[in-house]
Amino acid sequence: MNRGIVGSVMALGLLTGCSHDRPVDPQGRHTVIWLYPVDVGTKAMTEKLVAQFEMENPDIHIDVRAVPGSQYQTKLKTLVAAGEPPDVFVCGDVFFAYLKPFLSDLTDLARRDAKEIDLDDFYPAVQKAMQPGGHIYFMPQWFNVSLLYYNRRIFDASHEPYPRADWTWSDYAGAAKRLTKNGVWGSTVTTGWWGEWLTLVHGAGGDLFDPAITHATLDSPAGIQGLTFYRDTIKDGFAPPPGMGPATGFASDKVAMDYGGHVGLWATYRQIPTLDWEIEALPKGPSGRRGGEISLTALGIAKATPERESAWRFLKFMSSKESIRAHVDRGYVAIRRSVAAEHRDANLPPRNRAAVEIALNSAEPIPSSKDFVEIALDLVQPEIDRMLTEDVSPAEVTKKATEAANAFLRATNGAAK
Amino acid sequence: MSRTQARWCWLMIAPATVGLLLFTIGPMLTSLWLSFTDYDVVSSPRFVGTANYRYLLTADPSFWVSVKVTAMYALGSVPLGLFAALAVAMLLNLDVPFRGAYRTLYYLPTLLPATVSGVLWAWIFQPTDGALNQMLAKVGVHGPAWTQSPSWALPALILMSAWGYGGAMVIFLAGLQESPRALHEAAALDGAGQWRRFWVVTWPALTPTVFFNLTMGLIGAMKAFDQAFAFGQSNGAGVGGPARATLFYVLNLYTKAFEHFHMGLASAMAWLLFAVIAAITFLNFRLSKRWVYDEATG
Repeated sequence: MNRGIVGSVMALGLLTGCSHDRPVDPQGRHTVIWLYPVDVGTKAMTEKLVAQFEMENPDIHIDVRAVPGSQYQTKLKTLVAAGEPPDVFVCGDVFFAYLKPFLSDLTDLARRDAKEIDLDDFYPAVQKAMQPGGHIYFMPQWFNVSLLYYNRRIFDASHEPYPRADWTWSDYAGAAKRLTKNGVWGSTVTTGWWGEWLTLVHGAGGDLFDPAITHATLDSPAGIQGLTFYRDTIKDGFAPPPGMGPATGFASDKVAMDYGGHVGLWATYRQIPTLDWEIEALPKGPSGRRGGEISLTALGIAKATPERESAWRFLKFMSSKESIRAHVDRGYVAIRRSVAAEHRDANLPPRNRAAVEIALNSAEPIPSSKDFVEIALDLVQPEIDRMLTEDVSPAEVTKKATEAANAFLRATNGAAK
Repeated sequence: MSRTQARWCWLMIAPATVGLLLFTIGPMLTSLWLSFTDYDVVSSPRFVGTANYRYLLTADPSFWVSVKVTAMYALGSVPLGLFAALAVAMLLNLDVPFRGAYRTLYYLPTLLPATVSGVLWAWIFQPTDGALNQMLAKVGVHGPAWTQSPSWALPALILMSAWGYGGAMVIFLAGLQESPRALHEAAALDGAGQWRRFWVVTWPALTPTVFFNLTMGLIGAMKAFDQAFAFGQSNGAGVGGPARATLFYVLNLYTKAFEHFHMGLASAMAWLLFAVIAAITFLNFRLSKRWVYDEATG
């Protein structure tokens, strides 16, 4: 009797061991753990999508582990370090280079299910961004691309022609200067991160690193030119000094333009009935580059997951047309061209969707270095803060920032990649 | 002590000793070892000798800045906090109606979590819509850009620190109540005024309390973290910003450890801080012999 029970348990163990290391739950479902960055705005949509996936895939349960967005990377890296990475986590953004060693290469699965995932349905720039080194490590849900946002009411009141895709920096600065009057700012400056200053450095023809990412190059003439233009938006009086403009920025209806704004704010802007806003591609810098960045919000699968197949089914669902439609209804820009062609949000601003495609075609990826965020935020940003708030020249700032970045790269054995 | 008593003694202190070894001494020694390694949590530690200490002391642009910010904060916030705590304690020591209610009210801010007060004060110091600058504007003063200004962000945090004087205030209050009544009465009979009585009777009796609050205040200032962290996250300038103006030492250590996972560098910073706190506390004790009144030796 006892031998029979032991034998059955061992046989069951072998059977389950053959298919999955993690036991199925009491309902016989495979559990996929998803580390989810809490976002009040998307919580309802996310819960609905997870419920729908579980309904369509009754053999899989998504265990959503919510973490505040500001602590997401710390929590994720701690779990990876503890040898307990979640099966599915957010990647595809600036942290991809750091997370790559822990991500499962999904190229084989993507090839197998090529028809289902339909890569060609994504914008070409997105396809390029989602295949670093020709491999697929994540599946995207939406993207951010830098755009010029403008307030039509303010332009109309000043009889100023709207921005155009062929604008240059001087067209932008000229309009901003003319629009700065009666308590209205011509533009605003994005502080605290690289979003605007790196775009302008690109626009001038410079970059933060050399192409091989072995040393910093911010102190090049183009780098100095980009930062000079950035600083002069304040010095020339058409953008408020840090903290001195309206607390709600472009949404305040008192700022004519926002250079490099985030598409994640569309949902917010749409909720302000008095805000008559539109978008255009960023003006071209002296180098002919617009310089804006593209970043994807995507989901990847841990290399060590025991539930690779189940997690892959979840990723496919989250990047499916159905999921992208839900994202569009929530206010995000469609990442699939077929969903964009449905014009689900055509009656909502912005109407100039062609600007998104122009921006996508000219967008530049963020440097693929695991140290990029640290160098940009901790070593370069403080010097840029000084340039905006104290009388420190762009040349001095770029020199100090470059020296600090290079010292850091030397200390980390130049292993910036 | 008999052998049985000694055995019981060891048995009784064993849980605390094991806890100390496992959860305090063990991690301390581990961090000392890690300070000589390059360790990013996900790969194995790699021995690098004194490279972390050399990078911090000679090449890291944020290390000395965070030392300076912390020193300035300690120099500003500790005297301000001691003065505020002593002043309020003296008022609350007066025989006035509802004294108990006042004591509770003045202690309440201390009970507020530091992160909550950080967010609250970030709003008060907000340059355009903040309560402080709006009040200043009403009296014709154009307030500075507090949270966004490298010159004013640290003074804002020093002012904010006075908000947490409640702990020191309670200790001062206890010290004031210990002040010898007989000496006060004798001094009054000899014609000493209030100010004179404070300096010759109250203050000497209070010096051990001042010394305690000073020592704890200095250690607390050198370890300041939570309020600055919440303040930086809420004010738009970023943690430690603007331009590293509020980059406290422990905030810098935290960023290196838990934002960028340079555990070796963070461990080296922790040991340097330990050495500095130990040195300052030692110096404080040595200097205390010159000004702290000791009833036994006079």
